[in-house]
Amino acid sequence: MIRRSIPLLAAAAVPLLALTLGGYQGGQFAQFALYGVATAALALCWGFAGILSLGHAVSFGIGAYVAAWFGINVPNGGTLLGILVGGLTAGVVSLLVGLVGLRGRVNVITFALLTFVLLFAAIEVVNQLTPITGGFNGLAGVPPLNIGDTWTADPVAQRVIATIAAVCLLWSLIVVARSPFGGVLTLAKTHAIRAASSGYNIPAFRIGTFAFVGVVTGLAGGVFATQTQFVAPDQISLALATNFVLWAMIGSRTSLIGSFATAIVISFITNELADKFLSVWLLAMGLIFIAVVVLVPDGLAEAVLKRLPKRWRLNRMVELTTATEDVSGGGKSLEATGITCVFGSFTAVDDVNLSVRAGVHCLIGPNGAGKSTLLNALSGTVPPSAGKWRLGDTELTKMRPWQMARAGVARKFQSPAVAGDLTVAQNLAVARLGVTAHPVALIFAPWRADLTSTAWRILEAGDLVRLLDSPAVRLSHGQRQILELAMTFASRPTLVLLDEPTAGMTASETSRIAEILRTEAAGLDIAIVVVEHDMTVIRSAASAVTVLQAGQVLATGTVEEIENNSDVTRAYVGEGK
Amino acid sequence: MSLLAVQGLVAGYAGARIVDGLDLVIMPGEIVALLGRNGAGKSTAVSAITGTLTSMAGTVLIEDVNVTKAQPSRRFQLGMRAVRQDQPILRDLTVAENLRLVETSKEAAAESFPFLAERSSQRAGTLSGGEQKMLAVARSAANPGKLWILDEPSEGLQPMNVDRCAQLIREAAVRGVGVLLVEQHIGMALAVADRWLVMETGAVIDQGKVTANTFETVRRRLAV
Repeated sequence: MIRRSIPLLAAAAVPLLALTLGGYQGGQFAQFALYGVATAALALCWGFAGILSLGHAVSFGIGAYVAAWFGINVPNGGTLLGILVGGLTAGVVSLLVGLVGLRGRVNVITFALLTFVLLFAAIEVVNQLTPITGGFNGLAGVPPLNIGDTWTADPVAQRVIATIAAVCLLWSLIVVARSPFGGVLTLAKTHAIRAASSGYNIPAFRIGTFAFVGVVTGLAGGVFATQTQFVAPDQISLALATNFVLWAMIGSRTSLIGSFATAIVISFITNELADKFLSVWLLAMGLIFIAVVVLVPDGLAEAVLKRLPKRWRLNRMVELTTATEDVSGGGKSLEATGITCVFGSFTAVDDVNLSVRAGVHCLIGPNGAGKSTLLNALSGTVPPSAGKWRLGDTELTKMRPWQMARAGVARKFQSPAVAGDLTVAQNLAVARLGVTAHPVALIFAPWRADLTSTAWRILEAGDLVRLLDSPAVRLSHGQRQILELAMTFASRPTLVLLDEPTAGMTASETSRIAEILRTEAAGLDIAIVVVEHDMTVIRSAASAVTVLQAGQVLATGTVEEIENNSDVTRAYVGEGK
Repeated sequence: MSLLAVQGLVAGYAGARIVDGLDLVIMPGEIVALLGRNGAGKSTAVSAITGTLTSMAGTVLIEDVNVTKAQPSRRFQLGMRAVRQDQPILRDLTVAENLRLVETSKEAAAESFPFLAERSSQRAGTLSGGEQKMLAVARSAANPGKLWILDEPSEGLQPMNVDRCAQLIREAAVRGVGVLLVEQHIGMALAVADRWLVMETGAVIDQGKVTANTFETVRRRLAV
């Protein structure tokens, strides 16, 4: 009970602080809290979505300038309108930047440089558009927020309103970061293809997040303008953009509250020391930054959290239940014709036809025969150069991975792809929700998911149930394999593509998993394609086997037929076995 | 004199003792199989022994030289070589360049894995998962030092290539190299090993010489 009310008390404390601090410092506090919001917004982008913006001051400056311009030029309540329009404008600009830079595969450095160039363009615009922006002189005389006759002229009331706005904006960022939506961003940060194969349109998630962060930062900038009552090119400068990055880095880019608090504290210190020892302070800041990078690369907040006793960590508990009924997959079969994958002059998969009925269909062949490439093609992660394939009546050929996931195709990758920053249970919930939940609904959804009984059986076979609340980064290689396999079966797929699911598992785990695959394929009437080298798995689970060699189908048939095929023995097992 | 002597080793991440009191000894020319269930601490033990993870307690000696606090490069100078689980190859170089860096030729490597000669001009990062593993093993086998540590070399390999991998390990041991082999593929591990150890919750719980009955003993040990 006490722990639950801590966030509320903390939220109330921030405006109270603005109230109790003296006149000058109270005003400063409100302004720095708005810097803190912008820093936390950057942290959401950077620490959760893996997108670094070096031009974050652009959104803040747009918000400030638009709010100021409206406040000065629109009589009666123009400031409030200006704040809203400013937030929206910053959001639209961020959306456009996202549409340019965040489609397809994202290179963090390339995108950071794009935003850096944008910053210089924005600075240029502010300096040149003198009639609107006031050029170097900025815009003076921004009217305060109209909050009634008695309060509008009262700086203390203005300051409290501004800090309340800051806390609300910070809260909206925290809601996103801690929701399953934030979980999807975290998974996509390291394993974008895994997230896509769970049913998430990752570019849309990233662009949406970047636009949302733009809106929040723009709103913070607008409120900032009403506090200072003066907007200058400082609000869209290289110095401010750099500060946002430094504050988030020092505070912890994975902790929004840490980033928020760090921005306020460092701003205060800078302000206090600016008059007397500015140059010394800047040098000290540089040294602090270097010390943080070397000693606590994850930032101060993470360093503190790591040292707190376990019960003090506000770990989001995930409620995992069992799906009430196991719906039959309906025995849909996969029909693929003419699948061809060419990389430069190398043909990895060469005109392969594959027909997979319900049951476990093993795909074997020498290393480099094209097995993984074929799975990549069928799951849409690396679209083939030619070929068509369908699942039942559903044409899959042109689908993107997230669309395929929603059509019932599940995929497990060769090297286990799980989000180390999330707990085991969070990984499972993210994998489960992708197929059914709407992206926006994920922001407000609780961390709750109903896993299939298959997923639970896999978790039990790998003894992972006791580790549900551990961060996945603590798992061994083999445990990650189990987790990702359970994630693959978290929702109800009708076609499952598994790339060496038992690699790195012990013999007993392997035989348990083989048994699960066999019985679930039969019980649920679904098709499971497994790339496998372990003959014991193939013998115990496979209802059909296809052998690939040099990108072509060498043979296909039952396990017995394949084991008695001398071509296969020579190419795959070796002589005399 | 032992090649490797590990005593009371403790190591882990974020305060968790994943390896907790590990003892093990390897003599020249000896192949020791380190077995255990997932999460038993095998890979963490390898990290601590090779020096990529700082140990919390215990000692690691290479030929009686205490290297507990030494950098991986110092351990390398003393003859320790390791093939880690995450396929340590240079992805942006070609197969031939990867081999040339360890002063071996594609022809020599191709004796074990013929594809390495056929595809020598291919960029290593575009090889399949199993092929990358074989390149990593071949690179290391060219110069296994005195003490060769392999973390799951057979993972993702077709049966024929598992056999070739085992052959490389045997050949190294015949030349006097001591081998620490971490494996899930018990059949392969016991086919080459002289001694076996089973780890659980960070320490060795059972060990012995490899005999005809070992497979059953170990399997029962791991299935519990």
